[in-house]
Amino acid sequence: MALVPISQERQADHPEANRLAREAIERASTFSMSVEIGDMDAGDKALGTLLYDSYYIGGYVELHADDDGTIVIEAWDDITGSGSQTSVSAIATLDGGVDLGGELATLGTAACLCTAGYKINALTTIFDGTIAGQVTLFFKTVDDLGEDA
Amino acid sequence: MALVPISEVRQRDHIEGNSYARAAMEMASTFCISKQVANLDAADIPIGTVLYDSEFLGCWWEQDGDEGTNGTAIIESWDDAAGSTQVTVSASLTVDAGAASMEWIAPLDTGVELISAGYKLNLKTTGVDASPAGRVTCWFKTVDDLGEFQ
Repeated sequence: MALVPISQERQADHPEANRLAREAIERASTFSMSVEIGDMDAGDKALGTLLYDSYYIGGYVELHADDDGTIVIEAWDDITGSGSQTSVSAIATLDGGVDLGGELATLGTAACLCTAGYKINALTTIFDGTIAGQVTLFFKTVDDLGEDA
Repeated sequence: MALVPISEVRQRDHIEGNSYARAAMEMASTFCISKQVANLDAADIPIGTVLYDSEFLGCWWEQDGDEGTNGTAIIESWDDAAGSTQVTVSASLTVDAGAASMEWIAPLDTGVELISAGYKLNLKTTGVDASPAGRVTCWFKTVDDLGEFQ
């Protein structure tokens, strides 16, 4: 078998190692914001405020009892969302009689890039049973570390 | 213009690559504890407990209404549930907005912001007496100071 020159081996290993490292760093940058909401009734529910620019990956909602309604996750530019209120998730429609849980899927668009200091808000509609719920959202701070080099 | 030898270019790229990777790893280690608080009146309010040694990066404070009497808010790290040892890790926020507001509680930069694994985070409020609800989003990182350029 012909010997593979060192330089070729290193060249082959280098992009692969780089790719693995980039993926690991990106995945490691995931953080969650898990918040209990005392009352899911139709309205705005403040969840927290971001420290860094962050990408919304997705999330889950769970009702603590039967109720029907919708929920969507938004990024607000300030405490009242005076300048912008941008949806970052698809609308989850919950029928508590069927399933108490739902997914808050990312839109997967540039809208999911949330700016540092933005407030995360859950906008609910229709719910009127004054039941509690739990929202767990996932973000990442590192995105798109570039191509193989 | 003199040509830059390939080896120099690669060295520079390597250093920049390292710097970029270190910054990315440090940022990647960020996590938050977001806590809804039903009543921000003067009290010790438990926020959560950290798994690893962590650096406190700061905290967003949000009150949903008037605080009543003006007060303060700070973040502390406690060594156990009762806070046998209580260390202030943030600057003191003056709570005097008189209405719903969002404020930044800055970390101290004296070494106290390095919190030991298993320590509890406590929000200590004083003065506030109008029972506003609110929330704090506290930010930490687990990876710090990955060294100098190689």
